[in-house]
Amino acid sequence: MIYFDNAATTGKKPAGVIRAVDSALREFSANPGRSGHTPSLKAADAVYSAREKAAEFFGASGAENVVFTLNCTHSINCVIKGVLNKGEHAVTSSLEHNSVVRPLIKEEIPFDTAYVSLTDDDATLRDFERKIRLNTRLVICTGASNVLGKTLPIAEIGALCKKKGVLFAVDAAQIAGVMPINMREMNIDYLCVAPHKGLYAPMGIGVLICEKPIENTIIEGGTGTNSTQLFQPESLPERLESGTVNVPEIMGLSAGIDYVKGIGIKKIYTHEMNLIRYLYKELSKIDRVQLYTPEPKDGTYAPVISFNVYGKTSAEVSQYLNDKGIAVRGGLHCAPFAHRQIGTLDIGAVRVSVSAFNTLAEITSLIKAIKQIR
Amino acid sequence: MKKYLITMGSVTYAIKGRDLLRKHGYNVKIERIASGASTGCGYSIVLDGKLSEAESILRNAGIKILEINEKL
Repeated sequence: MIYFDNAATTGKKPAGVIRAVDSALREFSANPGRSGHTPSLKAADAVYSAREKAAEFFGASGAENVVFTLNCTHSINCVIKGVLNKGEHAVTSSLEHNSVVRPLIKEEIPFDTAYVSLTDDDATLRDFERKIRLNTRLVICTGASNVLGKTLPIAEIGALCKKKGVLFAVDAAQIAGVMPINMREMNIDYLCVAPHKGLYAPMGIGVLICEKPIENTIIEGGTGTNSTQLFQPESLPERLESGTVNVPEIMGLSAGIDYVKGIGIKKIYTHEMNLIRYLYKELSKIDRVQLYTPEPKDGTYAPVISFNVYGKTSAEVSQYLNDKGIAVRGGLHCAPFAHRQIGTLDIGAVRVSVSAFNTLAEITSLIKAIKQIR
Repeated sequence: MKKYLITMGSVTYAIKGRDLLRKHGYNVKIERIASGASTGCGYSIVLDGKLSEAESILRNAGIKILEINEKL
């Protein structure tokens, strides 16, 4: 099977990640931060090492700021429900995933959406500035659309938020491990990461890195320390990590960061963008294919594109390609805002997303299969 | 030489403190304490001597110390 659904989760995991998970289950199967025996402390050391690695990789100020969650959606929920109070306003973007939109709706947070231009980042930035009000507490936006690949000008939005005194959170699901992120340089207060995507970790682990406090918690419970206190500890990461952490997947994440660093983000990004651009160029030659963005350029797009074939639904095309041995994703990708922007709310789109493991030969097979659609 | 237990609020800060002190040449390790700290269970760095200097290193790094006790 040729796998092009890497924006959902990277289909192939590096051997080092698989070995790390295996090793964790065999040699680190003790509860970290709960006991004083050697296996527990050994597991705690492994978890701390992963925190240090993630902090360094994302330019955070300390390992203790790295919180392990269930997934990126959990991280986003921790931020939205953790810092926003009744009456406070938020700003998000026109390309958001439901992981951002649904918690805002559920919490009845008044919010505005800044329009993301597919061609003009300055226009995008200006709209963010227009949407920030006096009572805006948080700007939360995606690093790149999971439908269109369009990146947002994160560093510029971060600088704007700093100037306005507004907290800034980034949903980095599509850019972590694919494009460089430095929280301190980009003025990102909260970074939400899906390690099972661009960091090639197993599914079931998320990361939230906090450069600012989280006031309200969404889960409370045992943290292994301060047990006579009947309220949640103030300090991170334990404040947000009640219950046993997922040591095997944390160790898989650690190995995934090693994998990405070993090859180099720039090299991975260049490889993936070359594949996507070639696909884009070939698809643009097919009359029956509709594309929704300009040709993706380095630095302003992540390696994700969506398309449709006239006369077919995205579900039909995705099923056809599956029958040809090619995995892509049709539908709305949990991102109705993005589909509303490109006018595909009713039919969805076929999304192709690549990883470091994909090859030009695989892209050629995909193009050949699309040309054969009748 | 006296030994001290420097108690932290979490295993994360205990490891951070241990690694920091090791970088400064201290021979330290972590022990769990079931009681003794004012708030209950916790993790302590076990330190051989030179308490005031080690304490300064930890506090200057922003590491919150819950308690310091002599290890019996």
